[in-house]
Amino acid sequence: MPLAGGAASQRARELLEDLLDAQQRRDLASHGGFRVRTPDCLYWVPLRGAPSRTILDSCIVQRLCVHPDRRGGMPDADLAITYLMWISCAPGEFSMRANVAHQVRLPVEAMGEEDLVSIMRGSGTTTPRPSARRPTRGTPHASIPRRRCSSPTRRHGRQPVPRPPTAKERAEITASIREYRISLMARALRADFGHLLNNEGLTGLASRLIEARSAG
Amino acid sequence: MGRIQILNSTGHTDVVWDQRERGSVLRAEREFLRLAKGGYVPFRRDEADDGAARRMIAFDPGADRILFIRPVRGG
Repeated sequence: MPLAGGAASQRARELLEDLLDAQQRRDLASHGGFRVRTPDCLYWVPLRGAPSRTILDSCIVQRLCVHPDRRGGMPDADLAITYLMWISCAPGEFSMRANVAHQVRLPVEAMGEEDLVSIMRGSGTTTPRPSARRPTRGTPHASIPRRRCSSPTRRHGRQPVPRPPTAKERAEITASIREYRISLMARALRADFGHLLNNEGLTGLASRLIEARSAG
Repeated sequence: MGRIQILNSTGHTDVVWDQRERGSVLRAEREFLRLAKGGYVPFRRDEADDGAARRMIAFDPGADRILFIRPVRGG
C-alpha cells in the first residue's frame, strides 16, 4: 500500500541515518548532505541533487551527473542511500557510470578536508548574511586606499621630496598591498570557482593561497 | 534474523527471514532472485563487519541485512 510522501520520506531518512556513521550524521544534520571517503576521492552526497567529488591525487573537484536508472518515486534519502552504497562499495563502477558535469582544478595543498567539503557542497549558493557588506559589482573588492595629498608643494607644481615612511605607515602599506593581492587573486579564482564559492569563500581561499605562497 | 530492504516509493520495503525456519529462508531467497532479475543490485551489511557494506552476488542466509539498490547511470 503506498504511503503518503511525508511518511515515505521519513522512513527513507531513518534508514539513511541508520547507515551513516557519526561524522556523516553530523554532516547531514548541519549541511543536508554527507561526505564519503574512498581511497582516491572525497565525495559529497547532498540529500537533494547529484554528488560531487574531489580526486585527491590530481586536485580536481568534479560535479557529477548521475542518477538511478529508474527512480520509481523514491524519496530523496533513498537516492542518497543509492549513491552511498555505490560509492562506498563499488567506487570504480560508480566512477565509470557517472558523468562529469563540471570540473575545476584546485590547489588542494592549501586546503583541509573541511575546505574541500565546503567547496563541494557549494557554499557559494548560501545567502549572505544581511550584515555582510555588499561588494561593488559582485566581486570581492579591495583596493589600495588613496592617500590625500596635503603637501603644499603640490599646489605650487613642484615635486615633493619623498621621506621614508614611518613604521606605522609601512605596516599600513604592507596590509594594503596584501589586501590588494587577495582581491586580485579572488577575482582570478572567481572565473573557476565563482559557481562554487560566495565572495567571502573566494576571499578566504585567496587569502590562504597567498599565505601558502609566502610561506613556501 | 536477516532482512532484505528494497528501496522504493514507500521509503523501503522489508522482507525478513529467520535462519532457523527453512520456509522463510526460501521465501527470502525467492525474493532475492526476483529483485536481482528485476535489475536491482544487492549490497550486504553485517554488524560483525563494523557496519561495512559490500556488493553480493548470491543470496546468503547468514547476512544481517541486504539492501537492494537501483543501478546508477550518467545523466
